[in-house]
Amino acid sequence: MVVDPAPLYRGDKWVRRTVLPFLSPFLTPIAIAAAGVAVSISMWQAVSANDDSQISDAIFSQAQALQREFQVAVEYRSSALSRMAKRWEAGGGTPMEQWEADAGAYIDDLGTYQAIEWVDPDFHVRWIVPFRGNEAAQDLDLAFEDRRRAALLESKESHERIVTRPIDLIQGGKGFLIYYPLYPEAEFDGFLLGVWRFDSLFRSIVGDDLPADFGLSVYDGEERIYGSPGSDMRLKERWGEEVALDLLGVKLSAIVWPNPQYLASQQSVLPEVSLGLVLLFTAMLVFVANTAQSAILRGRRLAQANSAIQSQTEQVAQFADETKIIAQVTRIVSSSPNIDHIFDQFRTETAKIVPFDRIVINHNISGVEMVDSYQWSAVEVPDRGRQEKYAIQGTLSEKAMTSKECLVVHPADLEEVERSYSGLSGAWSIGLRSFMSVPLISGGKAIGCLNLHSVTRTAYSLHHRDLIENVAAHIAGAISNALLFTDLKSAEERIAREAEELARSNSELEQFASVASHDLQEPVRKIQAFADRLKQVDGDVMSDRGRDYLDRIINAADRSRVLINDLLELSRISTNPKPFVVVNLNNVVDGVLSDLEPRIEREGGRVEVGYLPTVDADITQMRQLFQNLIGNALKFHRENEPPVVKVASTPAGDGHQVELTVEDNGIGFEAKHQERIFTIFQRLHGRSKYDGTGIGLAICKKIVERHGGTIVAESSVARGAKFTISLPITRQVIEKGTS
Amino acid sequence: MSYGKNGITILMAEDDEEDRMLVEDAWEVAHLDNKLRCVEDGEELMDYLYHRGTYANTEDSPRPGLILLDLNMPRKDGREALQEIKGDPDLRRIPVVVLTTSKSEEDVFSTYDLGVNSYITKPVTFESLSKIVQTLGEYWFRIVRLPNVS
Repeated sequence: MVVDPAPLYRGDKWVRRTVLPFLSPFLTPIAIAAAGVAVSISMWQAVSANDDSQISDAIFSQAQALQREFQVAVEYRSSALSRMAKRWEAGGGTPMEQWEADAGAYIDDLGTYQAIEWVDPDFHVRWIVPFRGNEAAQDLDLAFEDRRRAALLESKESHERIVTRPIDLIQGGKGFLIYYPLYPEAEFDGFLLGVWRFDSLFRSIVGDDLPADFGLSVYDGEERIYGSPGSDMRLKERWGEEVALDLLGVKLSAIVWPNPQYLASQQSVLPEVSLGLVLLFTAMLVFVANTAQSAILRGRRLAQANSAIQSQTEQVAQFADETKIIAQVTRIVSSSPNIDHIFDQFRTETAKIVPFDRIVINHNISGVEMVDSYQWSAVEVPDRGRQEKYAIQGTLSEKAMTSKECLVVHPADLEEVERSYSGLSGAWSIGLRSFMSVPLISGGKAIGCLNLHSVTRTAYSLHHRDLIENVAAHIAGAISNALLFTDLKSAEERIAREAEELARSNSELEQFASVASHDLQEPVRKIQAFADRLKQVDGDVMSDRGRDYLDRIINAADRSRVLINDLLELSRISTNPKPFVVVNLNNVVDGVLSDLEPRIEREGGRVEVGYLPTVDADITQMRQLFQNLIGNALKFHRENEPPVVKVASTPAGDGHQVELTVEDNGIGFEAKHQERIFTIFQRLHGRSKYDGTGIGLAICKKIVERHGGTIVAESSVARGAKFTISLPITRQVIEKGTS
Repeated sequence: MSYGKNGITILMAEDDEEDRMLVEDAWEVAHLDNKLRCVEDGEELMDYLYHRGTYANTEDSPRPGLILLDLNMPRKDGREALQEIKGDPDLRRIPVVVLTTSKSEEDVFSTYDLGVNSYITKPVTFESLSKIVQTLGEYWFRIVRLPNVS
């Protein structure tokens, strides 16, 4: 059985189970995207770093190259001055023209020198090549300043060349000076002076490559003595590579850094490409993950839908089964008046849809006390007999019946319910743990309770409750029906018994009347006969008084005889009936009229007969009926007014009935007597005025009733009487005694 | 006791003594000289007809030319006796007239069915009875030709 997660009854409240929310389907793609971005950034950084180190290496090697070239260039260029000095010394001085030619050649070739000068032994500049641009130096006393003079003296003394620290050139710009002391034939002959211009020096050293691709700054200590033009200073901080330069013993430093163009040419697109690729890859991955996730989600939803459909299909199948079973139960319940049979069948069928180990149906319809109407148990129940009366105080039955609600005890509340419902102790002690109580409601009243118990803790769901609730309505109906049926049956039996007794007593009475009247007739007839005989034989010898008495005896006997005769007639209507035959009422009335002919003539009366139909009837009784009615109509005529009797008929009751009327112009009767006149022995007049036994109309009524009809009389005093008889035209009801 | 000129005996079966008396009186009043013999029930009637017991002597108990039969009698009632008489090939020729207090149509029908020759309801007054007896004698002994009695 499927236990659905529907809310269960918990004490006085309902609890619904909650379901955990489903994880967001976008979490995975988002995580993948984040990871992808992180990876691509770090990768980009790694590749960039690799790129940077390559560039740094390149800058470093450029710097190294610069260092080397600088060294070489300085040596080479200084060597020119050295060669001029050697020539001077070897030639014992160089003629001015020769010297100026040499100097000019070097200056042109080397392009480094601002000027090459000869300084006389008194430290005055004498010769200058080129003179243009260096006019300011002509005849300049180099010893005008102590530091310079000290250096020149040191060189003169040591015979070693002297290189000055970078200085501001007289010609403008930065540069330095190299002094070569001249000692031809060991006599001091002044100095050869090379004026170097840094601009020119570095421009010639770094050549075409460096200025284009790199920036260069050269420092003497903190002082910048050279800066390559057009260099991007911002890149110097980032990429600058510092190297030491040895300017013929003077220490300088240089910083080399790349130009943006160079960086652009050297920096690979790999980081960006890889970043792009990785991002693209990430995006794809995200897309794939998202798609996959969606697919999984769709799949899961599909699976859920599938399983929902499957479970729905199962539920539908189950529902169909249950419906079938409930229909079965309903049929059983409504088909059998035997309540025990119903309960047995109900138990068998219900077991197919709701599990239980014990079922108790109790009701209190017959009284205040509860009665186990039905009990079945798979577990042994001690001290509990069937039909045993017991109190429902403290039971779930009571709660269900008073609240008129179905109860299913929630497993979580089981112990609490057990404590608070003392009536549960018995069931609890035999191991029952699931309880469902459904009230049986009939006519808005709880007439009992249907209880299902199970040893399983979670046997009942609301679904079961609904099923049983449905069935319970039928059970309640069945109990009511069964009780009604029993009542009805006993009532029917009682009525049948009473009817039978009545019929028997009627029949006995009629039999008695028949026999009695027959037997009574005999002595009366004898009295009459012998009184007659006495009158004939001894009438003439009797006194007048004696004869009067004798006449009275004869009259009394005659009345008695008529009375008995009428009684006999009355009793014969049912004790001696004839089969119904097709009777033409016109013929019947004609026959009656011919019997009554002498009387009609005597009274001077008239009987008018209209069309009368043919009916199924007892012909003798029809004759008797009309005899009595027409006879009465003639009898009760008004004094001095001849009787006029009208016999007629009209169709009635859709043509299945006929209304026969016998109407007279006689004395009539008071309306209040219209019932009474049909009662036996009831007379409205004294015998001296109108004789009769008071049986005639009773006979009429009995005849009409035997024919399934009715007879009513209407009249008012002195307005005549009208008797209306309704008769069925054809016999459909075969009455008792007819064949 | 005198015999009628045709010597026909009439046999009356009647259990009621007074009725027998009244009929005998009426017989006398009517001046019928035919012999009227009486039996008191159906058994006795059949004994007479078959000459059994006290009626063994055919001289004393001659075969009746007419039977007056009451219907309601003890031992064997008139209906049974009638059935026996009309079922006997010899006795069936004897005319039977039912003289009874019963007015029941059923009795009328059933007795005619059994072959009764007449059905008469006993009249109330003696005068009527005398008239009936007289008429009977007139009819059966003067008008009607009866089968010869052997």
